[in-house]
Amino acid sequence: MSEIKVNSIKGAAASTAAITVHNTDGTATGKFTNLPGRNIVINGSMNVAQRGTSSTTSGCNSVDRWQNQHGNTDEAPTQAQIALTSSDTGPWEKGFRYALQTTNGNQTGGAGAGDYIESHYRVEAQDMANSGWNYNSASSKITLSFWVKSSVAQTFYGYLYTADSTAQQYPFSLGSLSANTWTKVTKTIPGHANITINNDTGEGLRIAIVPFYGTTYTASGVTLDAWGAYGSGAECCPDNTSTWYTTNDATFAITGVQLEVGDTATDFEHKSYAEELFRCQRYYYKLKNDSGSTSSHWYGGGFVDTTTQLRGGIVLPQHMRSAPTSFETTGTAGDYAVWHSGNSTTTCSAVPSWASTSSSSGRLTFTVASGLTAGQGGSYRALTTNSYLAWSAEL
Amino acid sequence: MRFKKIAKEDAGDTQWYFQIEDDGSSKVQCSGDYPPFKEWVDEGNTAEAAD
Repeated sequence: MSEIKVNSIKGAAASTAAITVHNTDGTATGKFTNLPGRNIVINGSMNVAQRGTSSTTSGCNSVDRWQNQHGNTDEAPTQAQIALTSSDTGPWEKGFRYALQTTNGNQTGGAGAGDYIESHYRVEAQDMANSGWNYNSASSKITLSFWVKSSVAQTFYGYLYTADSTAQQYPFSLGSLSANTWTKVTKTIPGHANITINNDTGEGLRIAIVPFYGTTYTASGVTLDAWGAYGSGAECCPDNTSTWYTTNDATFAITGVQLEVGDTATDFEHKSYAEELFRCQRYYYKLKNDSGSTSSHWYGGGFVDTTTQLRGGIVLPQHMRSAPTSFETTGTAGDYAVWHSGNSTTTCSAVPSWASTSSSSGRLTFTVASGLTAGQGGSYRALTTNSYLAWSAEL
Repeated sequence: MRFKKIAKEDAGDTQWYFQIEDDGSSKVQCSGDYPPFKEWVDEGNTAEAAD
């Protein structure tokens, strides 16, 4: 038997060791680029879009967990989950098949001071607090990496933001992007003594990527790549070039967003759709009639409480971040029905309602005009292919 | 956009609201913790009474 005794193993041209062998305790520390559980960002590959694939409404309305916010625009931008093709050189070869794309509206009034379009992701505070990042130490690092493409050649900015205690920001540049060319952006970010991240279910860290901010939200003297107090004027990044914003239908896309503890951007941690969907469902859960049949979808069962109401409990698939703060329907009562005694289906006269909710369950009520028999059982039924119910506990 | 109280089915229920869009449509019901509702209230608005 032979034995090799070394202190470290390093690549021939590397400046640091890939594996450090501890001298006395029989252990080693390695810098591996494919260990599971590295990516703090959920749905960084933009695969999951429960709400739909396209929307012009500000907020979290297409790709799960990603908020596309806009304000003071002359024409609302469109946020969309777009499918990549083999022409998307860069992310395609790395295994990405979707991106979150913002398509600008026609900003006929030019770049106003209060105008803004941004995409951002909010990390749940306890996921940051328990990540292993010593966020109060400048020698402890996190690394953010992502792919970005703009249809307009320009320098863009982004920033990290922490909300707890005195809010802090870390502005950074995405660099000068070439038009219609995917670029990999990597930022390694140190901790700072002024950062506070509570160990709770609130917002812990925000990753903001900015197609355009008007001058209300920028300042010429903003220092890049450094933590500082979030300004009362919310100057989150240097003054933006407005070329992208004043170009009708300009596009800006991101994918492959990874935030990990350490000073190295490792390979993106791809997950199965099922795993990513389950992680997203902590924040948003949608039951939809995807049967292809108008009525072959059931939301569950309950009891007939009165001649007009079917009521019952619904158990959510996991503990959501909090009790849902919103409950969504199609807004059309006729998309829903009650199935009850005698194989009868009665169309709802009001949209379903939700009450008495916790983070994992609540009470669902379907209301009809008449015809139910109190004390009997019944089922919540879809009546159109549009029918859905959804619960949101998004940050 | 405006908000309107939803009549409680049970006395112990917390208050929920309809979010009503400018065109009169309503797809969202929410609690008082719903961020857009909180922002709307912070702007000085008050929810309408339930039917």
